[in-house]
This record gives sequence, C-alpha cells and structure tokens, in this order.
Amino acid sequence: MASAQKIKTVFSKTLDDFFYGIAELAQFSVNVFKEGIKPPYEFKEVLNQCYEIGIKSFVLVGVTAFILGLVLVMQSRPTMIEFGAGSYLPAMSSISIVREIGPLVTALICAGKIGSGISAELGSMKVTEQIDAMEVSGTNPFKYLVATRILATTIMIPVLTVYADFISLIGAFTGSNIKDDVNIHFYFNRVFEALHYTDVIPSFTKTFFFGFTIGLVGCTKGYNSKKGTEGVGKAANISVVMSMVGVIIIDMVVTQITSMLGYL
Amino acid sequence: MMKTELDIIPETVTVASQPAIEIEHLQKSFGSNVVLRDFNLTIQNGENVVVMGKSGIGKTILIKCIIGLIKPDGGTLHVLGQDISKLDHRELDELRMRIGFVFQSSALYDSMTVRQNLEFPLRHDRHKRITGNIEAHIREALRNVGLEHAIDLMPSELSGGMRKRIGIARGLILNPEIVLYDEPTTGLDPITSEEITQLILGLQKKYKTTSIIITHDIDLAREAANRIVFLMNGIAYKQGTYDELINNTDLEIKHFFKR
Repeated sequence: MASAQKIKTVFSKTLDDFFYGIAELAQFSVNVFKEGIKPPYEFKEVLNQCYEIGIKSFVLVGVTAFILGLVLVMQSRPTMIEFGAGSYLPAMSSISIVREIGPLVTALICAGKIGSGISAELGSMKVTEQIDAMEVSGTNPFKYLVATRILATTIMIPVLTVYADFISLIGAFTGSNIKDDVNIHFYFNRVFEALHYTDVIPSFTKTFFFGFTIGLVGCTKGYNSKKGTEGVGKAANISVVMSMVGVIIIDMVVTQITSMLGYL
Repeated sequence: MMKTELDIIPETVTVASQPAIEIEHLQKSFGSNVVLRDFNLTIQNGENVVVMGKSGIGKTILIKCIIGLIKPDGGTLHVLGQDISKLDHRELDELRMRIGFVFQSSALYDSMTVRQNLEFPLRHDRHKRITGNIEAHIREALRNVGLEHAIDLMPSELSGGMRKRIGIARGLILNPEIVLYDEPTTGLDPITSEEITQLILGLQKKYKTTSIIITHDIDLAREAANRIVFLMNGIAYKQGTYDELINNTDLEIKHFFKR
C-alpha cells in the first residue's frame, strides 16, 4: 500500500514537472517573439552566435556525416546485392540521407553540442549575476542573449543539415567505391535522379523546427537555472534530453503530416 | 598603495534639496521570510548613504529593488523622480542607464575582455550619452581605477581587487547620477580595501554622484558616509552620521560597531 502511494506520488510529481516544463517553454517562446520583434535588433550578436553555433560545429557534423554515409552503404550493400538491387544503392542512400539521416543526426548532434553549450553558458551567467549586470546596464538580456541564440540555431541547423547531407553522400560514394568501382558522375546522377522535391522540402522544413527547438530548450533551461553550479549542470543535462526528445517528436509529426499529404 | 589618476581627498559632499531616491513603506518577502517590512528612506542628490546591518538582513534586496531587478511586494519607490513600479521595460532600461550598479561579485562578462566589458553599456546606450571617442572614454575609465594596462585582459586573468576596480569602472562608464555599491570591499585584504575606499571617494568627488553603499566595512562607512542607515527587522532601524551611530546607546548598534 505504501509503495503504491509512493509510486503515485512520484508519478504525480513527474507529470507536474512535465507540464511545468511545457508551460515554461511556451511562456519563454512567447517572450522571445514579443521581445525579439522589437527594435533595436542585435544583428552583430546574431552573426557572432551563427559563427559560434554553426561554423564551429562544421568539423564535428562533417566527420559524423561522412562516417554515417560510409557505414550506411557498407551495411546495406550486401543485402541489396543479394536481392539484385545493387544498382539502387545510390538512390537508397540519397533518399535515406536527405529524408531522415542527415536532418535527424545533425539535429541530435547539435542538441548535444549546442543545446548543452547554450544552457551551460546562460546558466553560468545567471548564477554569477552576469545576466543581472546586463539588465542593470539597460540591455534587455532576453533580446541580447536569448533571441539571438534561438535565431542563430534556427538559421544554422538547416545550413548544417544541407552540409551534412552533402558530406554524407560523399561518404556513401566512398563506401560504394570500397568494393566496386563507381564513377562519381554516374553515382551523383543516380543520387539526384532519385530525389524529388517531396523528399527535399519536408526534410528541409523540419530542420528549422529542430533548430528552433534546440535553441529554445537550451535558452529556457539555462536562463531559468537555479541553485548554483549544480543547477547549471542539471540545466545542461535536462536541455540535452528535452531537445533530443523534442527533435524526435517533431520528426515523427513531420513524417506523419508528409504521409497524410501523400508524399510518402 | 596603488595611486590612481584621481586626486583622492575625502570631503563632505554638497547635499542638494531634491531627493534622488524616495522609498516609502517598502515591503518584500520570500515565502514566509519577511525581508523588508516597512522600509522608509529618502536620499538627497549628492548624498552618500551607507547601509549596514547583519548578513542576510536584506541590504542587497533593497538596492536590487531600487534598480528594478527585484519587484517589491508593496510600498512606493521613486528614483530620480520616477515611480519604479509604473515604468514599462523600456522606461526602466532608460532609468537604469542613469544608475550605476557595482556587484559584490563584480559580475564581469567572462567571455569578454576588459575593454569589451566597458564597451558593452556604451554600445547599448540608445541615447549615446557618451559622445566622442569610445576607446578614449574606456581608457579614461580604466585610468580612473588605475588599470589602463589591463584593457585587453580577460576577467579570469584579474585578481579579486582588479575585478572590483573594473566592476566600479563599468558601473560608472555611463556617468550615472546614482551609484549603488554592493559590498565593494568584501573579500579583499585591508590594503586593497583601503584602495577601493579611496577610489570610491575619488570617483564620487569627480563625478558628483549620489551613492548607496552596502557594506560591513566600518572604515569604508566612516570615510564615505554622509549618513549611515542601520537595517534591522526589515526597517531602517537607526540612521545618522558615523559619529552619531558609534555613540548610540542602543544595544544592537553598540554590538554591531563592537564598542
């Protein structure tokens, strides 16, 4: 009886935390839009954040994307040859990469690297009173710190995804060439022939939502972190988990919508 | 002892008639913890008021209410003639540009150099109060605190005393009319504390600011205060000049000043 009560309490608290988290995110995103659209605009800081968030992630995203493309082809090739579909390898890899692997893997990597970074940075600024210092100097920290970072992730995740798709396709081409001798022109011809705008547009569109979610969660958790350095660590941790779950849920919703529209 | 550019001679500040800060019946609680119960205080232009009291009594809460970082539960708070509670975000930002705030922890932006820390308020001042060469103004602010050589250092490369000085320079960079100091000498050795005290006095003399200084440092209070306010039980328990308080017969005051 006591353990049932305990489970009920834990379940109730988890549910409370979940809805509190959703409400916190909703309120934060309303404030971001409210403050972000008011001038003056912090273009310089947006560019700075695009560099910090996007350009500095190019190596990590590139290496991961290349390996994923390579491994995808190496793993799929024996089965496809067995079914006599070896010639469909470029088409299979391009559709898999552009529709799903490129956007999802880029977003998950960025949720880990960028989401935790934003959260830890804002959390540290919060506990060391740097955000208060910004506020008392007449600068709106919401506009300067939060809106700029969310805009930067919303811009840079799609850019990183396009880059990851391209590198991943090169990885896939390299994977095809390990066992076969495939001409690069022939390979990429088959890749682009297989792609349709219904593959590209939904997968590109969802990356903006991925970017927005990663930025929003990272900023919300960092900005609202409490209880000193322990709170900063927790905020970074929670922001990674929530961003990843958010990205996967968005991916599922977009896939469902695309399917309902008859594009799958 | 490190000398700065300022001519450091403590002197009595001329007190004008218009109040810079008027606080009436200020209340602030955190849950069941009542921090400010019925706090009243009027500070005239050019006056230097030192707020003293035990740790955790609500001194920092008081100055955070004055600058609008914490919203009071009740009472009225007029700063430079404006009712803080009636200001929107933009108006509050405008008012904050006329007030300098020196944090206990200095709160320097740790991803920026000293130059960028001082440049930040100047770049974000919509009214461009400081005209002319920003670099020259930053260098002057650093010369005032004797740290022009530290202009390209990161906050992590500075000592505690240097961070306090840079914090003061940043707080004063927009030539504010009011400066709020939160324990400017806490955690420093006696020599550096004395240097910071003389620095504050010199800057007050040079820029004719109104100040509230939160401190436990009796030497600083003696040298800087036109008036000392003793905060206890959420009210301005006693106030007067240093001599008046040091000779006060109230047990709490006597105990605090360790006579």
